[in-house]
Formats: sequence, structure tokens, C-alpha cells
Amino acid sequence: MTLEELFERHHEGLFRFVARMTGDGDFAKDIVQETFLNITRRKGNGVVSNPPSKAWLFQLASNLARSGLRKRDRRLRLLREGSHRVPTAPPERAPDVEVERAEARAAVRAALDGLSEKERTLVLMREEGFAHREIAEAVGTTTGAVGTMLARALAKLETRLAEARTS
Amino acid sequence: MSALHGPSGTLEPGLLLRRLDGELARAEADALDRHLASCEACRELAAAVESQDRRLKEALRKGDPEAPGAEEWGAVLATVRAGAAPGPRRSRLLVAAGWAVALLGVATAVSPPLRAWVAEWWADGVGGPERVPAAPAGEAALGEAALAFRPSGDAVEVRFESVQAGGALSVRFGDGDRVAVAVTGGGSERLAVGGGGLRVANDPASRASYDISLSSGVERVSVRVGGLPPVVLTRSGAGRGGVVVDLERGTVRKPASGGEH
Repeated sequence: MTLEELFERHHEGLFRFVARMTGDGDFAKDIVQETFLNITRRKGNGVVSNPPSKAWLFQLASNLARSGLRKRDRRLRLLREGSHRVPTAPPERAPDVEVERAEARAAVRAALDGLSEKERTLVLMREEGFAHREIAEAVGTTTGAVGTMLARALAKLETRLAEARTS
Repeated sequence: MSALHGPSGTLEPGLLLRRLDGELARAEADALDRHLASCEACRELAAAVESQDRRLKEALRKGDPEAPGAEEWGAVLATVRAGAAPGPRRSRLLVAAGWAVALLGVATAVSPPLRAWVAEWWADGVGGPERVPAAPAGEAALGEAALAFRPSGDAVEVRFESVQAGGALSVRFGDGDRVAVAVTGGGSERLAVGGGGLRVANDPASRASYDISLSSGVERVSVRVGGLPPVVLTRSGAGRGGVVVDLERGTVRKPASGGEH
């Protein structure tokens, strides 16, 4: 498999996963780039023999995201404060549409932030099509327990979403 | 009570979720399906789990940040192939090599508008990252830097990697043929042209100020400061005097009045 094929197969899912984990699309794009740069540094940029598994890629991206966020503590605090703000804009924008979109994003962000890191990983890995066995490995539990943990996390997410919308 | 039921006498949501995700062994799945065929209450519970799953998927989708377009992903892939990434400490040679790979080797991944814009920028000899000189230890950062580039469309994005401790971005919609950028009071900021506009690798402690004069064809500029919501400015909205974006709070004001929006 070439680097381009590996990139084509995984870059959108990686972006979506990191963007949902962190709430920052620009940061997520940088993490996707850094993830594949890691592969380039290890394996060159031609044919990638023994291409990494999807789970390995996502785990690497998670680690890079976590590390990147730790370095940006102050920015993350401002991001959380800013994510509930209505964007300021000159009157030419369609304010209702933009406000509605910003509020939807803020509600989802607040709901996801209300989960523990393990719960968030469970939910978001499931959204990316990972098998329960892979999710279990990532969060350090048994395959059999993943279903129950997921059900609880999803119920919590739904409650938090409802709270965020009404607050 | 069957073996499928939990202590509460109802089916465990975890079991129904495993069924939804195709994670049950064949024997388990068959037993559960036989039970659901004969138990209305459990069928309703299974339907509720599926409905919740659909609602949450839709909510997550609506809450997703905007994804990069094909052009941006093409630039990312080009950078990966070059084995370098733009950033505060990257050399100009590596960034230039990344763009050279984008021109020569990523034809199928890069859309025609980006190819044309990069070719024009490269042939002109303008643009490219300009490094603001680092201040000597113990002195205030008084370095200045400037660059100019020619955008391809009527919209430009200006992205600051970080919210700053102070400083402002002054935006004017000008009449020239290039976008001109100047930095004052800077220290280690790096400017790079790409991805549909200007990217500024700045530091959270920075108090640098930036002046951007947009070319005549630019009607709209989107300013992103760190993780703050983007600010969109238009030529008609900004007026002759332009606008100032506070790089600490991401707020917008007119230069004369100082009142914030």
C-alpha cells in the first residue's frame, strides 16, 4: 500500500475522530498531518510495507492530540470559553443560520466534554466503526464489557445533550 | 426470566447495543431475535436503543467542525510526502520543498485553482514564509517583517495558531493587486502563505500587531484566532477605515471609535 492510499483511506476518519475529541478542526487537521508524518519518518514516503492498522493510527493520533493539548493548556481554556460564544460578524452574514450552527456545535461540545475521556473514546471509536474488541483494547477493558459501558456512555451523552440545549 | 434478561427483568441495553453493532455470536443473536419476536416490551426497548443511536449520530454530525476541503488535504499530503510540516521552528527550505512537491508530484490531489495560485505565487517570487527576527535576550521584540501575496479568489483566510496576550490585527480592504502583510512588535512569529490565505505561527505570550491590506479582488476575509470562533469580514461591512480584530479576545472594532462588536 502506498502512503497516498493509506492517507486516502484514513485521513477523513482521523480528522473526524480528533475533531470530535477536541472540538478544534484546525488542530485536528494538524494532528492528521503529524500522524502521517510519523509514518513517513518511520517508513519513508513510498510503498508502506506492513501498513499500520487503523487502530494503531487512531491510537497514535489520540496520543499526539493529547500531547498537543497539554502543550496548549491556556489555548484550550480559552477554546472552552469561546465555544459557547456567538460569533461576532458584520451584518452581511446570515446571523440566524450561523448562530444556530454555532449553538449546535456548542451543545455537542459541552455534551462530549461532560463524558470522561474513556467514555468519549468508547463513543467516538464506535462512531468510526471499530469492533468492540478493538475498543476494549484501546480503553483497557474486556470485549464483553464494552457493550454495557457504551450503553451507559450513550445514555449519558444523550442526557448531556438535552441539558446543553436547554441551558 | 430468560438468560437474556438482566437482574431488573428487562433486556440489558448493552446486549441490545452489541446486537445493533453486530457483535453477538450467532447463537446469542438467534436466541435474542427469537425472544424479540415474542416480547413486545423488549422489542420496544430494542427500538428505543436504535432510535437513540440515530439521534446521537445525527447530533454528532451536526456538531462537527468544518472539515478541510480537497485543496487543504492535498497540501497536507504534499507536506507529509516532503517529510516536513510548517510550524514555528521549521526552516524556509523545508516549506519551499513541500510546495515544490505539491507542484510536481501532487497533480491529481491538488485542484486546478490551487495549482494555478501556487504557480503564480511561485513564479512571481513573492510570498513564502518571512521570518520575524528573534529579539536578543533581555530586549523587547522590535523586529518587523512583511510579505505580499496574490490570492486566487475573492476570499482569504487568515489563521493565527494561537490567541495572544495582546496585539491586534488591522484589516483594510485596499485597491492594490496583492495582499500585503506587515508585523510590528513581533518576536518569533512566522508567516506562511498557503491553504487559501495566510497562516501565522504565533506564541500565546506574543503582543505583536499585524496590518493586512487586502487586494482589490478580495471581498471577504475569515480570521481565525486560536480556537476562537472565526470572524468573517466583508469589504462592504468594513468600509474605508477597515476593522481591527483583537488577538486576545477575537472581538472586532472599528479603528476610530474603539467600540467592540
